[in-house]
Amino acid sequence: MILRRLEVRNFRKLIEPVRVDDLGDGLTIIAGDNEDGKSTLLQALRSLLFDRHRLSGRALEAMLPYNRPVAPELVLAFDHDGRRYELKKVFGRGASAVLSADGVAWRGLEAEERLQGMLGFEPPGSGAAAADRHHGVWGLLWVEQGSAFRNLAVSDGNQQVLRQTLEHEVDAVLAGDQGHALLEAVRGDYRRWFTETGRPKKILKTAAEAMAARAETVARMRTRLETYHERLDELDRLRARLAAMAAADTVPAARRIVADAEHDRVEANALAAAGQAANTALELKQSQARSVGSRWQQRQDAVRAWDEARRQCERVRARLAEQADALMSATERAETALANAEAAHVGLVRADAVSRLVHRREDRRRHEERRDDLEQRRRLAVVALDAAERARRRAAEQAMTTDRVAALRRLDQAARDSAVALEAAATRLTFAHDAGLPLRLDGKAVAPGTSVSVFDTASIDLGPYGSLTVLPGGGDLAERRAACATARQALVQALADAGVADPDAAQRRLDENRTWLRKADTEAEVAKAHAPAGLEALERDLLAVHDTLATLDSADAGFSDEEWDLQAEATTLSVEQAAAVRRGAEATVQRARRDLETAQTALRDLQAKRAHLQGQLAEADASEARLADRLAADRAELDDQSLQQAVMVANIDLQEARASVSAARAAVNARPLDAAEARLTQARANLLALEAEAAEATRRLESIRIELRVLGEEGLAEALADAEADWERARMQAERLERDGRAVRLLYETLEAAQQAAKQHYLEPIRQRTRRYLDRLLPDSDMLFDRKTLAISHLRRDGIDEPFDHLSIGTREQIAVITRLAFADLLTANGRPAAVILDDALVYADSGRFRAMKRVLQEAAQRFQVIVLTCREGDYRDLDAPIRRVTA
Amino acid sequence: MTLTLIHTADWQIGKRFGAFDEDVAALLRQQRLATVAQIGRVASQIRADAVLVAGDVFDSDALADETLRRTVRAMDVFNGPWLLLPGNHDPHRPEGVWDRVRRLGAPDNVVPLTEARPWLSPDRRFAVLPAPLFRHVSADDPTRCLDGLATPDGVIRIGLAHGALANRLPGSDQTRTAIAEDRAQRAGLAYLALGDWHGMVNIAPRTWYSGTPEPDRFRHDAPGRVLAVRFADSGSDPAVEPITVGRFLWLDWSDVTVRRAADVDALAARLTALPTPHEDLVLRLAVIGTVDLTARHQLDRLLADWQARLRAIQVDLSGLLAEATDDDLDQIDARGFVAAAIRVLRCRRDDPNDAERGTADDALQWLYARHHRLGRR
Repeated sequence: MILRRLEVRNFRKLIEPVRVDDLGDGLTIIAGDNEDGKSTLLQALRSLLFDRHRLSGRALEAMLPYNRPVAPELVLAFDHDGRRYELKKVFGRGASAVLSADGVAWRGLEAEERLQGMLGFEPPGSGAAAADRHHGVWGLLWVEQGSAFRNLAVSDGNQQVLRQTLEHEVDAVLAGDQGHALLEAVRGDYRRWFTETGRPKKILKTAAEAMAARAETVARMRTRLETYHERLDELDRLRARLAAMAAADTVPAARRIVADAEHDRVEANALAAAGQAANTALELKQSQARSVGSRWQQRQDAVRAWDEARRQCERVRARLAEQADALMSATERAETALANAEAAHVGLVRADAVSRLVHRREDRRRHEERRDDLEQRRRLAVVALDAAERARRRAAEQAMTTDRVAALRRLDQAARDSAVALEAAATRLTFAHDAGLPLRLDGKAVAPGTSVSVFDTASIDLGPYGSLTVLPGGGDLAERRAACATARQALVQALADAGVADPDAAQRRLDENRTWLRKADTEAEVAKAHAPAGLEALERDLLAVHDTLATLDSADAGFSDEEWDLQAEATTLSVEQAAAVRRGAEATVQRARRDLETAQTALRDLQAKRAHLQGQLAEADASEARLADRLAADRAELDDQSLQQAVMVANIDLQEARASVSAARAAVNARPLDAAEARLTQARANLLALEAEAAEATRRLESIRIELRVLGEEGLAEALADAEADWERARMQAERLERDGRAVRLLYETLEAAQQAAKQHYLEPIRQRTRRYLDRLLPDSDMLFDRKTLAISHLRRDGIDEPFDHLSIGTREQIAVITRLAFADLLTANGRPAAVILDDALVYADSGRFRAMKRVLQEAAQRFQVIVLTCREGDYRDLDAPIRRVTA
Repeated sequence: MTLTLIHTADWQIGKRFGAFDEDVAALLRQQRLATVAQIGRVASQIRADAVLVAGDVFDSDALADETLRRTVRAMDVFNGPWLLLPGNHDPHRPEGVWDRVRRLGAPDNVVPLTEARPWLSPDRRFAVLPAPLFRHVSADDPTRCLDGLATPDGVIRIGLAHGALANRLPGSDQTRTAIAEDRAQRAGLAYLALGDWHGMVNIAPRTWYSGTPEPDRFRHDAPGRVLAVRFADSGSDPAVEPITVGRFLWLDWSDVTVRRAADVDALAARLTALPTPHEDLVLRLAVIGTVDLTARHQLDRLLADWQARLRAIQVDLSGLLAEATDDDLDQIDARGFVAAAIRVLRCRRDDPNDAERGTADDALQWLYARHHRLGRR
């Protein structure tokens, strides 16, 4: 809709006809002073288009001029879809509505419904239409005075209009209704498998559990069927086994084998007893032969031992004789070594004594040096202490303190101040008379050019001219005079007490006093440097050194002759030389001691060996005698020849017994008892096993028969086939569900992701259009919109998102206007030409922003109609836009 | 006087048909018993001297008592001898299925031949020489014993065995029981009645497989029959007549190739030409090929339609690769983010390194199906 002409009469304050015509496609300025009725004009336009002509009650009264019984008459000419329409409405008495175009006219309700269809708005059921609900998109684009800074309240209806327009522009991105329906359908599918958070629902688990349960049933049934077949097989085997046992006569045969084995065992037992008897006889013969043989062996051993004892005695005697010479020479070597060691010891004692004397000499020298040093320091310390004492005395003579000097200076200053004050109050007389005139002041002659201050009544003798009495006029002159005298008196008294002429003299005395004290301190420091612990301590140290030296002297006086000899030697040696001499003597002693020890050890070894040999000889002699006695006694009992004969007889008996045992053993080996017993045990075990097997097979056969009858009744094969079919169905169901679930998840997630990406572009058309204007106003900034309400949410500047409500009122006003322009732009571009009307909408803009906004309006008006209602006509003159004036 | 025998085999009573829906499976199971009764009726009609069942009367040797009882009851309609041979599915074992049949009180005319011993007819005109099986699996020729089975002179010797005839049956498992192909001649048999092969076939001189009387699988030609074997006298060859007793026709279409919509139309035409009544048809349909989603969609609708008409269709589409083509996806009125999502999914489907490429294809198919469902709404 593009507005072309508006006529208003009898509408609120606009009683006289007002006509605004020749409204162009672009920008038009409608100017008027305050109270001229610009805003009323906009209200009239809204009423004309959106209020029903049969409006009554308060809504009608609101249109009427105050206290005038007239009917508001409104006319609008506008273009829509390429046609020129004229709408005329009369409200109240004689209400009517006429819409006409191209010679066709619609009246009353028809006219209003047609208008409604053309402009896309929903009138209220009754009462006046509200701009935000019933004016369609025009309510959004036409801004009332003083409301431009508010955010856009986009009604549901307007949202729909804008969304349709937006979606028309971004339809390719959003996929239209079809796309939404598909996504919704797939979302529904997805919810079958997965929760909101994407976790699998029970559907898959249930299917898997169903499959597992059926698999378990199949396994159980298979096991039972296998058991059934195994039992059939086992039954076959048992029957075959029992039949084979019966056919082979197995058990009786086993019984016969047991009887044979028992007979064998009896015979083997008898042979074993005979063998045992032969063994016993053999053991007896062996014992006898061993006894005789042992005695003969002992006899021979005794003869050999006696011979050996005799030889041992001879060997020990020979070794004693050899050892006597070696012992003698070892004794001589030990004595020589002992003499050497003693001589070395004497040498060491002497070296020790010389070393001590050398050290004593060195000690005395050190004490003497210390004594000299201490005496020197005592002298210097005494001198310094005396000087310090003298300096202190001088300082005491010049007694003066800082406080006293300061007090004198204060008194001096007070005296000066009181004199100045007196001088200030005095009368100043300056004499400039001829030198020839003999003037006298208080009797004293006064020379010309003299200046005198007069503190009290003074008389000037003017000579021939009589006299002049001066009475100084200051009221407190007498007080000042007294004060001056008092201050002066106090100063004089203080100087007299201090014994100085003036404060500077006192300061000089204080400086001298400090100089003497510093000198005293310096001297005391010198004394402390010489005697750090004090003079008394120094003197104590000196006395101690003297005592030590006296002790050394008295020790020297007690020297023996031998020591005096050594003293002569010590005098020639230094401490180091004496130590070297002593180390040499000590080494000699060590060597001599080692030699002595070696010789004594060798001697002790030889002595020990000799004692040992002597012991051996005694023992060998005793042993020889004992063996000789024992052999003689044994031979007396049985001589050697008889004994040899007895041995021979015993050996023959033994051979015979052994032959008997061999014969018996051969007989036992031929029929061993353990083998016979093992055979019997085996045969009995075989018999028992066969009998048990037959009994067990028979019992088992019966048990299996019963079990098979029970299993057979169950129809295991049919049940298994049914279970397998169930399982197969469950398996396929689970696989299909899982596969479908994967597909649905992937499909849903892909669609969702694609839609999310697409939504990023949803508001792009509005953003592009706002950017176009925003660049004029706030370069490099961007506006963000609430996707749901389409209201402005933020302004993005320098990467920071500022909420709309936090912006200044001026900025809010400007970006709200820009947004309306962007919406109008969008609508126009989509074939719905829109007009933007702004009623004093830029009142908060500073001059720079205002200029920018005017350029924005000018640019916007290139594409759609923009009407500005303003009371500041001059502000818009430079826009080269037509200006219409409204006058009430 | 003519000797007339009914030769049948492979009843497979107790088979569960687990690959079918439970109601279909139950019907197929019931029909096998109904067909046994039909055999009895045929035997009565042609005044048969005996019904010879050449093994696999039961599908398993572990069936429920109820199943065994129903089978015996189904034989009530013919009071002549029913001579039943244990086969590899129902071998004779002590306390096994045949002992149970006896114990459950089978009538005297129902005779399990559980021993390799001639059964002589009461009128001594013919003797049945059975070769029962005692194991599920055995490589021995069970008919070897027939050579040595003596019968009175002048008696017609009829062999009854179960297993594969050596060197004769195409595609049969030769590692299993292999019957000598000249057994009828060696054992002096007038006729060797065989079971195990479920199709009817004259496999060697005087040697026949009757096939199963009620089809139970898609393989084998000419099932659903019994053989009426007639002997004019003891020296002549028998006259063998197939008689149809089965109800269901099992059709195996494992060769259907679908590559485009026209192939779906051809399949529709082939289905339309199926014999009636349709509820007696069991069809296995294995479709191979690569199709677009449009053709796949058409195929699904066609199969759903025929599922409702036939007794059962076992459909195997594992060899059919359905791919979402550009044309398919263009049918989705895809703009904006839907088109973007399709592009993403197609990229992933076409990326050989993408572990989820199969899932991406499924997702595209799901989207296509969703789109069609929305379209129908």
